[in-house]
Amino acid sequence: MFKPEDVRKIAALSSLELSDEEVGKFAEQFTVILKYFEKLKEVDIGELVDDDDQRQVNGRDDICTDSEVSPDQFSPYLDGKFFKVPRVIEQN
Amino acid sequence: MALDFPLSQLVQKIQNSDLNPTALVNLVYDQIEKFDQELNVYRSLVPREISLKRAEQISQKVSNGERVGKLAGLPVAIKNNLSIADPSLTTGCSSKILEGYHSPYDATVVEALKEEDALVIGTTNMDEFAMGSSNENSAFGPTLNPWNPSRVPGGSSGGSAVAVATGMAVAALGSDTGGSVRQPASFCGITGFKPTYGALSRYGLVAYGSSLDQVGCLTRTAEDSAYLFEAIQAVDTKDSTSLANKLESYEEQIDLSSLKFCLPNEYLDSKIVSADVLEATTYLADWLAQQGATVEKKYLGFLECLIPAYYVISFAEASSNLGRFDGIRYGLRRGSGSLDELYKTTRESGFGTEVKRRIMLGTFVLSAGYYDAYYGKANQIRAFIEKKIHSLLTEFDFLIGPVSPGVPFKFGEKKDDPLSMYLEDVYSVLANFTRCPAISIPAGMSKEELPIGFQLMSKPMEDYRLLKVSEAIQAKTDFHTRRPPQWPF
Repeated sequence: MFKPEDVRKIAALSSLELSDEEVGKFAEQFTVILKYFEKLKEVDIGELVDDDDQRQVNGRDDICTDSEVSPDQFSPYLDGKFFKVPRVIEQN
Repeated sequence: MALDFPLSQLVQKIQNSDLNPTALVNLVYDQIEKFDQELNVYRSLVPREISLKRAEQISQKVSNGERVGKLAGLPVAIKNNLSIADPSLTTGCSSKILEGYHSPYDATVVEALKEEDALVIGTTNMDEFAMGSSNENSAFGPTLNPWNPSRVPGGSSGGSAVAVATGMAVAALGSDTGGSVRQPASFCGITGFKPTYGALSRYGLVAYGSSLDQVGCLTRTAEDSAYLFEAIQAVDTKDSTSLANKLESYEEQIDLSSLKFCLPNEYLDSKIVSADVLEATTYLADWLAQQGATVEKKYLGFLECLIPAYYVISFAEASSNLGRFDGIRYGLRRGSGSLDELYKTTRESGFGTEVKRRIMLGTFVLSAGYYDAYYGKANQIRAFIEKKIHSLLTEFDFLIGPVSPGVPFKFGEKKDDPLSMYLEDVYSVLANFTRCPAISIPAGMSKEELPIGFQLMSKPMEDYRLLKVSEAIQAKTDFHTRRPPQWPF
């Protein structure tokens, strides 16, 4: 059972501010969806897959190169070379 | 009618000066003028006069005897989540958070289209950030199904599918994370091809579920998909999951009678699949058997846990990928208080309901105390299913079945029931989950005159063989020749 306070907690972790109406609706829907996801717990992996089968992503080496794109080509929030944001550190 | 020719022939005609590319551009723009307002296909469009100028340049090249590309003069559409540097075009993912966003660079696949002299004419409507199976999650209203405007066109690449089905483009690119190319292709009566994971570069595709996302082709036929795919397939160092080598084309003749097809018993379960779709699926399976092919029914045994495992992984990846939309560097910015307030207000007003739902469920399954039970377990199940499918596809040449359990549904029918919407993907997510290439080809019409698709899936890297077999089926059947009423006959 997903309670409205659970939804608010996840919303805060997701940097989302929800209306009370949205919170109520999501609580109901998440209860149904999470109940469906419970099926995962019923699968006994011990019999199905061993540690060697853990999926590996075979990406190539991560090599650093200069970007062809600079922020002034896409950002409306630049102040000189910097992205302007609200003050983060309190004065004094 | 020029629009009826295969892409290869259109290009050949242009190269031989038998067809002026400006005439083709005009045909496509006439269709757009007639039907785009009603069907809501394009999110942004290059003005006709600019496309005509570009077509004229290709025509000039041909007259001067210069080499032109494999896609010379073809008016092509791309989904609104592919980056394109064009002042007329946006890469907005049909989301308010990226409304009006112009990319400063081209996605690698878009660069390839341009290098081969295709004319990218517009970006198409989609479910916001590719999350959805009906196009109803676009922040700018859904695209309508040309066969019946009260029905959904499928999603998330619904705009691209309708553009091709109605002649508003000769071909289109979409993206497929769990069926988003194949399902709309099936709902609109065209062909939709999702290549092997890594075969087409994801550089410049706005990420949703990075381990599942793949750019795909929407065309009228498998032959056209193969032609488009071949023209843009390349190894890309900018995408760390790009295949190490370019796939080799399949030159051998296809003999249907020598092939073994697996039709999973679960795909014929009348509790899941509708009567119309079941009939079309068994018809084509029987037809294959009549051609001498071996068609064997077999239980997969994992369908129950496939959908929950798939959604846990895709939600988890979405919650991480969409963290970048925070109002700091680009896109929408809302709120004037603290930094935290700016993040929350921007994301609250910029994202639609389905996107919020997936971000939150993804955050939940990744959170402390739940990670192992959901995300960890889902990844183990993925490893198991992948192993099982790859071994099954050694025993069989192809896995076949429906694309979607039902025909295009009515707008609003599933919108407030997210779980039933997620189950729309029950037959399509397997290919993404196991990196396999898969294709949807038209397989007839329902009693209500709505298109039905048929799916074929093969082992990774066997894309050209899969396309060739689909071509062989289309060479002997005529389901792919049906056109909706908007088609310029």
